[in-house]
Amino acid sequence: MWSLLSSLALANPANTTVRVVDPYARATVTPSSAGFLVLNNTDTVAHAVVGAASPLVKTVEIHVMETGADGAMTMRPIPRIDLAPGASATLAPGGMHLMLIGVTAPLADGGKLPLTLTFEDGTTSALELPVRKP
Amino acid sequence: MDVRWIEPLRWLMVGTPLLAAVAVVGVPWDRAEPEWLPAGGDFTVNTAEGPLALHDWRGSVGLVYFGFGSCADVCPTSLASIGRALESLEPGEVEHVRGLFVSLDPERDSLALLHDLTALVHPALRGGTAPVAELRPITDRYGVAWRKTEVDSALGYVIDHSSTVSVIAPDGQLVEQLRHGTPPDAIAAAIRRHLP
Repeated sequence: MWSLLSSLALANPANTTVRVVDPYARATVTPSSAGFLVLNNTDTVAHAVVGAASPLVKTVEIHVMETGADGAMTMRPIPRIDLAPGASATLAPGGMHLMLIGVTAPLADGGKLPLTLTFEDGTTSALELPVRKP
Repeated sequence: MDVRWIEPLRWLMVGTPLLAAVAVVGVPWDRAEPEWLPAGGDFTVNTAEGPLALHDWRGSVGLVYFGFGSCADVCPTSLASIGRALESLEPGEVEHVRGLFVSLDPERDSLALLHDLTALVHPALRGGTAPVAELRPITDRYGVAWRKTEVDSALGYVIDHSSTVSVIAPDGQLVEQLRHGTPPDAIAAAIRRHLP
């Protein structure tokens, strides 16, 4: 039993080299919202965020905003966020965000959203995103 | 050199740095008055409180924003800026301001959701929508580009859309369109320019 538990724990070791700075999620009463944060890769090798999940959200995706030729703003899913050695990536309004699809309880200002990032090498980062008004 | 070419060349030499200076200085947020404004005009949408027509607002300044309920970035950003602008107004001013969030996703956005979404932002704000066939001529008159686009996402589809705040004068005329990212103080200034 213990070996099973420890192997489960070992299956998702914590990522200790990609620092997550100032994460937050936007308060909402709708089923969709967004999470924002800054990723700093302090490692000497590349990393990539390839997924995210939260027990309070059905699906978490990585989306990016762009402006089309006609001025329409487009929101599109992207599969991963690449982080070269020493590089940073900023998820902020108007750029990339963690797209929260199917929020199962209203995200109220002052609350917390547990969220786990999964990296390409199988490591994870367990976060608690403070919920703030947009 | 043929003397006929000298005058235009001089204009080019003087004019290019001038144009460059304008490009560098840019247009300040609170004076983002475009050379061209779409026709705008009256329209009606359905809200949780019943039909809402822009002409119901006569005598107040109106703000209209077109978006969709599953929009997690640009719409909440714009609505939050509108909310902060309204909060910054004096009570005697804000009583003459009305706001409307028009959903371009009537398929997914219920009137109840649009009510809740806007009530969270400010009590002067309403949320509404209409069948797509009715929305298209409205958005054409407001210069809003939008389209339903299938995406490889749990959302299934998104609505690509222009993100501008249309300012309606108390006589019902569309008088300004504020580009995406206009900060709350510039939105408040635009409202004050047209208050009765």
